[in-house]
Amino acid sequence: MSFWRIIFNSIRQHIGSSILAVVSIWLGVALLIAVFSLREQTHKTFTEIGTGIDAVLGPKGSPLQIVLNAVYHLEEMPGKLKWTYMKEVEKSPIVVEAIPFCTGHSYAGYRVNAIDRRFLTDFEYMPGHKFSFAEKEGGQGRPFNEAKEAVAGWEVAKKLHIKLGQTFNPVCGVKSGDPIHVNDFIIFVGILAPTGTPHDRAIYFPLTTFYGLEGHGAATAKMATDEKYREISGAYLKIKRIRGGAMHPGVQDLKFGIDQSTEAQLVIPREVLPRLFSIIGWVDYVFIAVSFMVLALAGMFLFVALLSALRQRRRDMAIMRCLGATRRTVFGLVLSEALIICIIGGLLGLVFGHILVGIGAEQMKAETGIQFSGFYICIIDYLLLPALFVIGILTGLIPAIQAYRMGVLRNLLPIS
Amino acid sequence: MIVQIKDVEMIYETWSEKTKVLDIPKFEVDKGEQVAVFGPSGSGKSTLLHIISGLLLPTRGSIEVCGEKVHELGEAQRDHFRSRNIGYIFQTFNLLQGYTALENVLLGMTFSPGKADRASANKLLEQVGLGEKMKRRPYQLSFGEQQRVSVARAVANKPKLILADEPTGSLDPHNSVEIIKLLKAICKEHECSLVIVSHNMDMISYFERTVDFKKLNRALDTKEAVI
Repeated sequence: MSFWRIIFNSIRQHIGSSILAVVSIWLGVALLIAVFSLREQTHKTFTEIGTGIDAVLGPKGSPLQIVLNAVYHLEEMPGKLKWTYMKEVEKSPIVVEAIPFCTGHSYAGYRVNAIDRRFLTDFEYMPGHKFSFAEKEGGQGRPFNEAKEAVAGWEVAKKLHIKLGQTFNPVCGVKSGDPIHVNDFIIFVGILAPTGTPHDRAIYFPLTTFYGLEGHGAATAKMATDEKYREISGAYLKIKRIRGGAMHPGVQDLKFGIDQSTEAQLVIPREVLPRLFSIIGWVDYVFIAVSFMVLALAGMFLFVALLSALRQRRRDMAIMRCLGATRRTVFGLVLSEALIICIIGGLLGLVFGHILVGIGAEQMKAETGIQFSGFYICIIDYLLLPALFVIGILTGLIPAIQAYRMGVLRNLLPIS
Repeated sequence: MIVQIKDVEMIYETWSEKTKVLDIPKFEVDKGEQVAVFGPSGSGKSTLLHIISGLLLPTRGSIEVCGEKVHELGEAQRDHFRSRNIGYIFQTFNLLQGYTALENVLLGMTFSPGKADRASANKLLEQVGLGEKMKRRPYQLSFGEQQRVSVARAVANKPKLILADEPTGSLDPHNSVEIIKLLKAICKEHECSLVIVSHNMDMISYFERTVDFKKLNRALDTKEAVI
């Protein structure tokens, strides 16, 4: 009979507590994997998306609010800025391109942003990635060319079953109950291929259409024709690159100059994102702490289960010693049992944790537009096996030492 | 000689007293010999077997079993010695309740140097009349059957010596005789020596050599075993 068979028999003898120990470790590890994976993916994706946009020219107000609105299509812009001011900024030698946009409209819960057509044709939403309408990539149609045309992000199109040629009436606002532009029918002429970014969750239409929407009033309508009066929510800025792909250092001077003005501010998402993470960071830490506590409780449960099993099997151990098993053998049996329970629970937790992330990914994408993956390998995946090994040893060590020190003759009598 | 015991003393010590339970000047068992040691309960017979098997070390004296000076071996060496040379049978069978009869016999082979061989274990169980019940667990067997499993387990590691501690103590007279006959036959077949200790005088007639433990153990001569 092999060493492993003896361990298997031993686990079978206290199968109830063994299964509970496996399940508790499984849940602890799954929770830890899910929390770490989502945390890492959130940071990575938010940062990638954020750094995809060099800078946002926005109105005065909270820089974080501007980033959330301009980059992630959340929140609302704190105000407006003059088109002419944006044009002045665009003249800066380090600004390659400025893409103006107006936010504040929605349709069926999704943001409807008015934007310059170049956004759909030239703009890189992430370094090296431009929007695509290619069918093989999941897109359809073309960019808008004329007024009253719109392009839907991939997620919006999927969720709202949008077909090319279909029309919609934008809502003037982003909250439920906001008025609808009932007489403005905008036609979908394109669907963007999936990008895995919040852009999948937005609808884009031309700025001229935005200014011309019925109900915006004469002053806004005038903005469509006269640049002098035109206002925008902000503009995405593409900054000149220097060697190594880094942003031109002059961007800080540009930022300083704009921030000093009364008109606008320049927000660099890469600089603002750490602030966002520091605000939501405590939630991360709470989740991580809870996960570690669950795992620690699972370890303690295993420890108690092993101790109790050992008390019940003292006679078995003594019999084995009589049959020639050494102290080291029984020590190894108990320790291996702890390790096996830990590793089985851990591996199940690993798989389950990733399944959990995979299931949650759909929901997260629907909520944030960010594509999460169940197959994402985070740091905890690499640390898991050594960590389980340590937990197995820590929980199994005391019971194993007790088995090692157990007197043979004293424990040979039947347990009544 | 399989067992050679010389001037063995065993004294149990507590904080307040010392009790001498064994004082055996000489005890020997030949290769292939089957010896029955008879004596009253509590006279130290089990202690003698524990000392022979290396489960206990005597306070003084020398014990040579199967050519090895057991009293000079360290604990792990004594464990290995036991796995190679000794088969143990207990009054309370001491079978592992979570294991089948077959697994209990296989366990007897596990800690010995040879490989645990399922075919040999099957054969042994058939030999003790449990060929049909080898997948049953101890609690599904009668006491007599459990002791048969215990006998099969004791010879599973091909020992040179079998030590049986009151093997019939939990059995009815019929099963007691059956077990003794089985034990003798199986030891003869496997060419191993047998030392059986018992308080049951009815078993005397089955052994060519019997030892009166009251005469063997001088510690019993003293009225008070307290020094």
